[in-house]
Amino acid sequence: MTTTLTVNGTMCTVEIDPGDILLDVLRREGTLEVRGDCHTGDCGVCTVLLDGRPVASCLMFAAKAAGHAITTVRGVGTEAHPHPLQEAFVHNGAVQCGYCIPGAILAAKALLDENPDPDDQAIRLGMDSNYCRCTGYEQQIEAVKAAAAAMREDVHQ
Amino acid sequence: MGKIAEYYYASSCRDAVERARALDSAAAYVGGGVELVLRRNPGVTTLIDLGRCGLSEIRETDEGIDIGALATLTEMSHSVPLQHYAHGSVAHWAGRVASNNLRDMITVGGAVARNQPWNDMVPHLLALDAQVHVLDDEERTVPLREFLRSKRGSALVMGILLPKANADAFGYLWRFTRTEQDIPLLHVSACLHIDTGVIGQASIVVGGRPGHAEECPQLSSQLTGHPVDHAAFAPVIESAGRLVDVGDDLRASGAYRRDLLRAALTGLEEFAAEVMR
Amino acid sequence: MRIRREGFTHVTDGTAATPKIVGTSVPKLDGYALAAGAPLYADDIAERDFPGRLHGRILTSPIAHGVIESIDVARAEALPGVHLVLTCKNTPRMFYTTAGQGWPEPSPYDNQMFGDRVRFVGDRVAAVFAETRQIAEDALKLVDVKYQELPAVLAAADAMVDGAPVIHPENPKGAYDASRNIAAHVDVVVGDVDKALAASEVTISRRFETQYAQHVPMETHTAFSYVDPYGKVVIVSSTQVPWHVRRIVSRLIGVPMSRMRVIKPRIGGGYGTKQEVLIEDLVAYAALLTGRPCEIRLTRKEEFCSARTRHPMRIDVSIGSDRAGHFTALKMYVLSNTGAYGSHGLTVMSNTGSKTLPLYNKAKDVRFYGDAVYTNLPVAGAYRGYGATQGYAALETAIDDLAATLNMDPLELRKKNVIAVGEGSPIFEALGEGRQGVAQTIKSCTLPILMERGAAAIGWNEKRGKRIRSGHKVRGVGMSTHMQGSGIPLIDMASASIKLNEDGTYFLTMGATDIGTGSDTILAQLAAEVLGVSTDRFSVLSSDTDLTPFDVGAYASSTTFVSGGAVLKAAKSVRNQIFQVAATILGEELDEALVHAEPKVEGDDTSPDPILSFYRMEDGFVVSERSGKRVSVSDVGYRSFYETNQKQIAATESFVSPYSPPPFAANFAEIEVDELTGKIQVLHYVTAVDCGISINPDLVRGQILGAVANGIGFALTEEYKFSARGAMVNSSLFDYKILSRRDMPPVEVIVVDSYETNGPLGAKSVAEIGINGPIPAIGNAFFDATGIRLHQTPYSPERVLAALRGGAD
Repeated sequence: MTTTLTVNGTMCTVEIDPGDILLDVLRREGTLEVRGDCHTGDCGVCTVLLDGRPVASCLMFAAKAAGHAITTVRGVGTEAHPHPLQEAFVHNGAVQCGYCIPGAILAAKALLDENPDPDDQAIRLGMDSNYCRCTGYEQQIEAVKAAAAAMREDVHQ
Repeated sequence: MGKIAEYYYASSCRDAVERARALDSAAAYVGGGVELVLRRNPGVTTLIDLGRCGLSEIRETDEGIDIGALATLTEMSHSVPLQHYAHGSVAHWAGRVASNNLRDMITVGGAVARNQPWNDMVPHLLALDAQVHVLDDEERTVPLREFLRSKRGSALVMGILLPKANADAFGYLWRFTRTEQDIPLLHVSACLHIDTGVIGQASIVVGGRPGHAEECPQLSSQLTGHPVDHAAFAPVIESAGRLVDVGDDLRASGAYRRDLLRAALTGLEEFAAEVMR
Repeated sequence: MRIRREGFTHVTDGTAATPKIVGTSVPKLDGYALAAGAPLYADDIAERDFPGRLHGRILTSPIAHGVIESIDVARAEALPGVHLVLTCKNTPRMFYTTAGQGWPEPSPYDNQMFGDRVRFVGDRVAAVFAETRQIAEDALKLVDVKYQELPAVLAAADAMVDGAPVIHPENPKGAYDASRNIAAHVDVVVGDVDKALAASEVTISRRFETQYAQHVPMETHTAFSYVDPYGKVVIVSSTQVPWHVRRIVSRLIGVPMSRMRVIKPRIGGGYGTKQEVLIEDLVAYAALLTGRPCEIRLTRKEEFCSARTRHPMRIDVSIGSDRAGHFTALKMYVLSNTGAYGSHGLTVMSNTGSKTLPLYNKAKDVRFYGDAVYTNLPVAGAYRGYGATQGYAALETAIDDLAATLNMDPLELRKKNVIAVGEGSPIFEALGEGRQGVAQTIKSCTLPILMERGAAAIGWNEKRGKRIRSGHKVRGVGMSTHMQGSGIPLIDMASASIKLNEDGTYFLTMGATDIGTGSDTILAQLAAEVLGVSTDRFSVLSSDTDLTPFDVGAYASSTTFVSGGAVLKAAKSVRNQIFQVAATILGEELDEALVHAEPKVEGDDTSPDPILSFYRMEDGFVVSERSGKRVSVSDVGYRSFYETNQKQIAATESFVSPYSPPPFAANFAEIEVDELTGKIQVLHYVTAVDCGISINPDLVRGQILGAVANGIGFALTEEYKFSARGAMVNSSLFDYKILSRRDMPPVEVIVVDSYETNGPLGAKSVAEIGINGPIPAIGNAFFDATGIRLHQTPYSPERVLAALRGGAD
């Protein structure tokens, strides 16, 4: 079937099988920042935002995502124009192997959109899908708080 | 899931049901879709998407709170009416079970329709005496306990009704997990009506172990009519291990689950005592 | 942006020279690319560059032990889209080890690409390469295999008993005694331990058992291969050991190293599991045979069942002591389960002793011995901590029991016995990685400060023995002390090249394998420090067997220390060449001998390089100490490239250390035990670490935090479960529980720098040591809270509750 996916604001028409999974379609179409390995929704690596909410793209039918806004980490920020969350992660040693980071950044983005001043507990809860085996999480949690503070200041100015 | 030949966007609930009937067991409804992807059914060749059927709303009615079948756990946790219902237990736990990605994908209708043993919403809704809005030949509302026992065929869960009668009750949810976003080794939910220190009505449900969530009238009836004190709970805690079948599986032995049952009911006693304060 | 590093204290004692770049938390050079999701991992590159590649899937054994009676691939080969089916009938028959280690290889040659025998559920039987993953998967079902099932060994304790099934009847080269299923055996004796124990005023003997667990990298093993226009087999692999991959695969499939190239892209977590050649041989061989690019990406289930695990161990430890708490004797016996193959069996077991016993060097009579046995269970391998984790689980809990017997504070007992600066241990010399070690004395150690600071942070004196209770929950505190190593002395070699560009920037290339640790960054920091510029003057390329010089790879806590030594030497050599040209520009004399002197890591001679009394590097300039005159490095570059005595200023240097200076750590945990459910909640965890000079404090902290998180998971929740027939039954992240950020307690990191003269600019290692603390610290806290000792991990609620009730744990 032919369907239209909107990825980071760009509409693209893709040919999919009705049972195709969003993760597989995104990678096939070159959206390589979305990765994933468990295919059971357990690891959080494949997180994308669907209309601003984090979902496991490995458990979502691509056809179900049609008509919704899909945001990947590159829709949040790029090397040239990083988002404060990416800045904070990079500047606090919160990125090690990096494999989980796009998912973690997206979960954090959704959290901050909803709660601009989350405490530790809210951050741990709001990003609990996103396993990280390298960092032990602490520096990522600090980074989310630092980015939140920077974004709040930005809003005030 | 076999080779999916068709992904059908239903335009209405009626449209969805008619389509499903025409295809019989070859069709499956897609709410969140999580279970369909995880546990593929080779017989299913058509997916019927419910996303355009207007089933996401949560609203207060004269009968209680209507939760659209496609409301996600996250949406439930954010719902102001739910945050006040039964002292907020549904909203609180909808925001904490599973993990954030899944809380935005799992729908209440899917949870009820699939009724997996480890589900935390179904036993809690059972304890709260929830009703289910179902559409097959006609639209009807049936008690959740009946719905879970019934053969569902192509019946479509349109939504859940939390009855007004329990709006001011105290919802209790206890789950024991190995890690925070794990499925429970044991789940105990309860709904207590407490009036001037006396338990007017109690409903205890056990889930999270092998087999589906079950109401435990033998336990519930022991509490009804008793004042909130240790004398009321002690016999319940004592007898629970004998009265409730907790099962035995990879995750925990039956003996350990009986220990957890005691812990859960001790927790219920502490909860009731806390309510009194 | 202001970042509050709340749980982090970094203490420098100020004795070392104050470097500018080293000691600074420079952001990782690849940080933004990783945070923005750039396509840098093996599968990203394969998907982008080789959309038409073939996809491989592996058929694995459904039984624990058996002989393949027949294997028929005709139906699989006939499936449209299938290009190649590999089995024992059409692949090289050579025996080899999958362990990516140095040469000669210390692990037995007990593995074949495909054998006619299967030895565990998950063992390789066949591989299919097809146009899509789905077709390959479908084809697996069409491979018709008939097995003759054999009795299996499903517990380490059963492996050596008379009449046990022999798992490797072919008697592999390098196995200790295959007829008794013993892959490796160690026995190291110093003095007469039994006599000393008998003569000790107090002795204590304890047994501890650890479980099967796994690294769980977020990226499963992924590799692809293609044949380039020169006929070269290129392998792009998520590996920690590109050179070992090249050596092992080259020998196995008979392609010379000149026609093989291994590239390590960014990799999604290693922790030891990618120190193993698991799929590279298949993709390379398939690419050769089909002429098509070929990829294999393990599924999560395959990662659990067929990749590598941590050696489960049963450890018996005896400690002799006088009544005042001075250790007299230490004895440790290890029964290590290496699974169906002996990968890292000898060396992991060796480390169980060599990385633990020297910490308590006051004991004069010591024996360490053990057997690593084959079983028909998943294969163990390298895993962060590398045997020391298991050793400390046993040793540090036994020491706590000894403290209780002596009625002493466990912290005070350790203070009496731990190794100190200027001291050695006979174990250093007696026991190396599977062979004799090297003697060394400790040059750097802040352990006394670590113990003090850690105790203060956890509230040791206020909380210990108090058993603070709230309802059915009770609290306790526990601690443990540790050392690890820094690389494998006299074995691990690393090399690095630096060349100058004429604008005064540099290109640094090295074998060192950045697996997310940030080694590309911290190694650039070392070079930048020597060359007097910031890291943005460097471009870095690492881990490509064609384009970079050799390095053994990322393991054994070696990269900072060993690869750092190579980078430091290369930087010094380049610096001296720059001085030489600068001297001619400035018209000053400079002794040739100083320029060409062998650059070195400081070592025992801590006086500054003699050449530094003539010139120094400063912000991209060479400054003459004699005249105060300056010349820019760019001027030096242009002159040497284009003007006079033209040459490329560049150097390649190698480093091997005769020592492996240990980092040290003291860990403290405060826990709460729910007596109704048996659940242990870690409330607060403090880890104080000495890793020499912290080159990049943020990255040091990250290494420690990551290791601790993995360690707490290993202590509490992570565990393989098996069916009665030896199949792993919880092979998904749904059932094998690693810790999420909701499960992790706040972890406080205290880093107290020392200065290690044998390390590059004072640095030691930090990668592994943090994983050793949680089992003993939490177990000891549980003992403090309840008076009950747990002897087996994980400390799962069900097991803990049984222990609380007085049952066996």
